[in-house]
Amino acid sequence: MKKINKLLCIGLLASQAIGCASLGVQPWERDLLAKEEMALNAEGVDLGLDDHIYFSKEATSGGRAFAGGGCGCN
Amino acid sequence: MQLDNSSTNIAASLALATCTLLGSTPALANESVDNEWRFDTAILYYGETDRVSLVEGVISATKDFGDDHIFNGKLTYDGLTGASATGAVPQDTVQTFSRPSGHGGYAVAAGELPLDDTFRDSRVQLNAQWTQPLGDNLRGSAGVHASKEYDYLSLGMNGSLAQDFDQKNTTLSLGLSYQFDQIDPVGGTPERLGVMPIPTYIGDDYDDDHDDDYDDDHDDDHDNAYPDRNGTQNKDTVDVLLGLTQIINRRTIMQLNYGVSVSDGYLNDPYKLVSVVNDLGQTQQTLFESRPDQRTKHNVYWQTKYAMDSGVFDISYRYATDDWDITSHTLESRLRFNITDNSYLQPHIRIYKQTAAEFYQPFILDDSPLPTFASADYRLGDMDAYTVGLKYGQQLDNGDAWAVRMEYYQQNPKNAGFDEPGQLADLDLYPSVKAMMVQFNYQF
Amino acid sequence: MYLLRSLFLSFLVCLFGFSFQQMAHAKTVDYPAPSINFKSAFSFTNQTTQATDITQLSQLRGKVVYVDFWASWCVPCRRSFPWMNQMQAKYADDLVILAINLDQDPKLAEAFLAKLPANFHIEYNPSGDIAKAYDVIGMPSSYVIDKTGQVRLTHVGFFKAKQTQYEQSIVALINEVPSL
Repeated sequence: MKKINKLLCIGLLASQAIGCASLGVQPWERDLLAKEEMALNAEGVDLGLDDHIYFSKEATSGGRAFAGGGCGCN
Repeated sequence: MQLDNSSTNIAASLALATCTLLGSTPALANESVDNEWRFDTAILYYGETDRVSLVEGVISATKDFGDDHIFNGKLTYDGLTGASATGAVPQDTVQTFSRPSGHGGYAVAAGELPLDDTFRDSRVQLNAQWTQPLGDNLRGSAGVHASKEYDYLSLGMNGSLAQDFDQKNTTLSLGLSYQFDQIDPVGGTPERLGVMPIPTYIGDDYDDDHDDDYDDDHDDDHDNAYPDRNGTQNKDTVDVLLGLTQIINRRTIMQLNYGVSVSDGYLNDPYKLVSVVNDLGQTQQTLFESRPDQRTKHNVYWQTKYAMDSGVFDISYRYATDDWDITSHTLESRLRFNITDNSYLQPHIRIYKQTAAEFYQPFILDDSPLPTFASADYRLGDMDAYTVGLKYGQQLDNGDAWAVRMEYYQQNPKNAGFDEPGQLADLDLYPSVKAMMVQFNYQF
Repeated sequence: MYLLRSLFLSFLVCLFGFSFQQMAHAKTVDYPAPSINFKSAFSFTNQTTQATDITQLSQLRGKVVYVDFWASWCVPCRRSFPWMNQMQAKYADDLVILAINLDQDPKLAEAFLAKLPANFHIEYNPSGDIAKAYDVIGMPSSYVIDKTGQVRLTHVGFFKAKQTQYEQSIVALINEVPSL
C-alpha cells in the first residue's frame, strides 16, 4: 500500500507540474508533431515484437501499454 | 506449448491497440486516405546462442472507414524451437531429467546448465481493434484478441477513452483490459513442489508414437504418464492504465502512464524446476516450482519525443514494482537520423535491471524446511540486460516503405546473495544469455 | 484496492463531465468577422459582380464567405478539399471560399495542392496572425460569414458525415436577405 501511495504521489506531482506550466502549442503549430515518426505509437509493429520478446524473457511487462499477462512464464 | 519464450503475448498486442488511443496524434499514417487499407508487415528472427530460436511474422491491416473511424486487425504467427533453462542447477556429473509428459527423459552433461532441448511450438494470434471519435475531444477504442498455441489459450478484451484538453495539448486517457488464460500443460499440471520422477529411460522420444509430447502433432490428446495430475488451469488478469500526454512545445511531446495489473489464478510455469541440494551441492531431488497464485504489478512509464530538424530523439524510462518484490528499471532510447528526405538510420539502446522475487532461490537446501513458494527461474532472479540495435528504413516513390533492423540482446543473471555450497561454487549457475534479432518490415 | 477504485471512479466522472460539455461540433455565433488583408489579391467573375481585385475581406460584402484554416500535415483537411471544390462550383454566384494555409513552409502547401488541387482562393499565412485573430482552436477550423460580414457559424474539424449539415448552413445564409 505504501508503494501504491508513493507511485500515486509521484504521478500526481508530475501531472500537476505539467498542468500548471503554460505548455503547448497553437493548433497551427503542430507540423512537426504531426509527422508519422513523432507519433507515440510510431513503429507499432516493432514495439509489439519487442514487447513480446521482453515479456517472455524478463519479469516486468507493460508501461507503454497494458501489462497484460498471457502466460505463467513470468 | 512451452511457456518459456514462446508464450502468448498480450502485452504486445494490446500495446499496439491502446497506443493508438493514448497519443494525441491520429493513429493512422500520414499518407492514409479514407477507405483504403494500409498494411504493416514484419518478419522477425530471434536466436539465442545454444538456446531458443523464434521466427515471428506479423500482418497488421488498418483502415479509416471515414471521419477517423479506424479499424485495425492483426495476425501474428510464430514458430519456436530450441532449448530453455529449466531452473535446475548444473552438476559436476551427468544428470537425467524426465520429459514433462513423463515418457522418457534426457541427459545433461557434467558442468552444463540443464536445458530442456525439445521445445517446439507454433502460435497464432488474432487482434481486432476499433477506434473512433466520441465527441470533439473524446476518442474511444475497443478491442478483442485471441491467441492459441499447443498448450495455451488466451482470450481478452480491452476498452479505453482518451479526452483532449487545452486545444488538444493535453490528453488524458483511461484503459481497461480483461484477459482470460487457460493452460493445459503437457503431462498435466504438476503438483507444487512435487518431486519430478526419475526417468524410466533416456532418449529422444519424438518419433515414438506414444511420446510426442513436444511434437506439433496435436492428435495425441496429451497422452501422459501422470493420470492422477490435474489438467487445465486458468488465470484472470485485469489491467488499468491511466495516461497523460502533454505537448510541451512545437518539437516536444511527453507521455506519463501509470498502470496496475492484477493477475489471479495459476501463475506457475509448469515446466520449471528447482533442485534440492545437500551441503556438498549435490542434487538430491528435483521439484516442480511453486509461485503464489496472485500478483499485483504497478508501473510508471515516462516517454519524451523530440523532433529535430533531421530526425527524432525518443527516450523513455519505466519503473515497475510488484507484490512479489520484483522491482525493475528500464531506460530506452532511439535516435532517428534522416539521411535523405526518404531514408533514415536509427540506433537503439535499452538498459534493463531487475531485482529478484522474494521466493526466488537458485536451489533448495535439503536441511532447511521446504518453503511454500520457490522458483529457480532466472527470469525471476536478479538480472541486468541490455540491447543495442540499428535500423535502416526507406520510403519508396510509390508510397510503400521498408526497413531492416538488427539488435543484440544480452541478459546477465546475477547471484542475489545466495551461498553456493560444495561443487556449486565452481559451476556457473548464472550464465549469460545472448541473442540476435533480425527484422524486416514492409509497409504498403 | 479502495484507493484505486475511488481514483478510477473520480476519473471517469471527470472524463464524462468534460466530454458532454464539448460535444457540439458546429457553433452558432454572431460577431463581426475580423478583417483580413490578402497578401495576394484575387478576383472572381460572375453574373452580378465585375472582375475586381479583392484585397480585403470587407470587399466581399454581399457574398457568403467560408473561411477555412488548414495545413498540409492536417489529416481531416484532406477530406475537406474535395467538398470545398464542390461547394465553390455549386454556389459560384453567392459563395466565396477562402482557404488560409498555416504551413510554416509554403512548399509543403504547394505539394499538398499538387495532389489535391483547389478551385478557390488560397491565402498563405505562415505567421498565423490571421488564425490568432480568428481564435482558431483546432485544425481545420471553419468560419461561415454572412452577407453583412458577421461570423455566424464556426466548426472545428471536418467530418464527411456532417457535410450535409455544413452545406445547409451555407445555403441558409445565402438565402438570407440582409436588411440594410
